[in-house]
Amino acid sequence: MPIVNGTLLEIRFTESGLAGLVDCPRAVRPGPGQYLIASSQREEEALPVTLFSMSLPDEPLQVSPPLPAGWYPGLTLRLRGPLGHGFTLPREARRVALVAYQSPAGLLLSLTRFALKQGAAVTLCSTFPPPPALPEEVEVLPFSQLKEAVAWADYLAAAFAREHYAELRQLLGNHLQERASLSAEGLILTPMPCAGLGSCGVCAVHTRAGWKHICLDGPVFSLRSLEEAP
Amino acid sequence: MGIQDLMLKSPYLNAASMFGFAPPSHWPLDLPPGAFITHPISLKPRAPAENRTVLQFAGGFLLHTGLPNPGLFATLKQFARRWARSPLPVWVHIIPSSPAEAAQMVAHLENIEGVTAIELGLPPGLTDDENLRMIEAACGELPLLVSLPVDRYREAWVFQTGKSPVSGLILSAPRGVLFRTDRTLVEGRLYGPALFPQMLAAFHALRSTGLPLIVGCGLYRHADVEAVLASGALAVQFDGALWKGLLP
Ligand code: FES
Repeated sequence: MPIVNGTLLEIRFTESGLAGLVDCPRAVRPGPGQYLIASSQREEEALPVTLFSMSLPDEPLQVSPPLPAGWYPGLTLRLRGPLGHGFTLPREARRVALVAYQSPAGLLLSLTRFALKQGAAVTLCSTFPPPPALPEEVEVLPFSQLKEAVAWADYLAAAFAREHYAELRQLLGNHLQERASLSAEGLILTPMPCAGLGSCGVCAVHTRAGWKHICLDGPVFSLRSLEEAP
Repeated sequence: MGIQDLMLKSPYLNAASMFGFAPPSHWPLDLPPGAFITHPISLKPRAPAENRTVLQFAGGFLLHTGLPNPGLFATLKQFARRWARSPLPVWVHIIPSSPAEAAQMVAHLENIEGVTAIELGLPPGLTDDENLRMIEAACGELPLLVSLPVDRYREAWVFQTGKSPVSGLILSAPRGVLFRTDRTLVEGRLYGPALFPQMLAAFHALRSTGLPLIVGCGLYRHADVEAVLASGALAVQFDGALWKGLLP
């Protein structure tokens, strides 16, 4: 597991909080849905911070909001990664629906760009405003059209906090069951303080295969593997 | 009692809960580890707490997990071989719910290769007598270290701990309560550099017990670590600094 030093080069204010540009070796860059663990020497931060990428692997690393309010350009970060299991976009996927429920759509940005690169049409249903960097080929739907997006897609990727999953599940209704062939994955957001080092258990999630750790077994899971209330 | 008696390779340890059930492949600080302390283990399996969470506050964080673990026997089945092969001595942190459970767990662990000490976590809410009975029950052939949350250092039973053959006290994370964003309250263990002064007060008050003391919370700076060791702490345990991988 590579552990390296990186530098926060740039901070940007977005509607979902601070986003940033990080200078770091390629070896630690996370794929879509994977994450990096970043620690700064700032004493007020007793825990490391989880970073998700918004970039493609060969580009400078743009990280998704929200970053800690006290971070500033030039800050040195100790980085550990890439960690976790990310999205598995099927090669044959041609209609990709992205769903950001009560979470920044920027978390799905690198996946969006992978999907466009392989020639898929992409729609985004988000309860938050679309990120400024969203490619213009992406069709943005109001969240009320979630069911239509599910009915249209051949691959669905969602991002949501663990505590919002039951609500999202309700909003999806029977649509997932009705579309048995639809490949559907969810990035579960939750604090991951030890990121697998300690198996502290705070990120435990209940799946049909028993208890799993979001930091180790996720953060992306098949939506069909999740219990009603994870 | 010195670090040799406890077969420690150095005075730098991890706090229970920081590294799971088996020694990590990589120790993240630039101070050499002296032993490996397991995640807390109960006799029977424990599921994660329903409202498990971590909440940050200025200078620290509250962790509420319910101390999930598969129970002693399932843990041994999965990890005993790794403990036997561990280059570091293994201290098993047990969280029995009664003296009978404590005695049963300790008796079992005495036969496990690689285990060199027991760390006892006491359930919250016990009376003085109940705490002392639990400690007595956990005294066996292996050295016993009692984990004492620093907010409880003034309790009367602490000063009687020395009547049992206890090898030392570990000043560990206190408990606290914080609001979630929805204003519900969560209780949990507190960690972070903000606890250092509280830990130091407990450390100085407990020197009169004559028991070896291990400082097990609030350590986030090299200078503080060296200062408590120079003041007579037998060893130190790191918590969140291990997750950050930094000790400025
Ligand atoms: S964050 Fe600690 S086990 Fe996942």
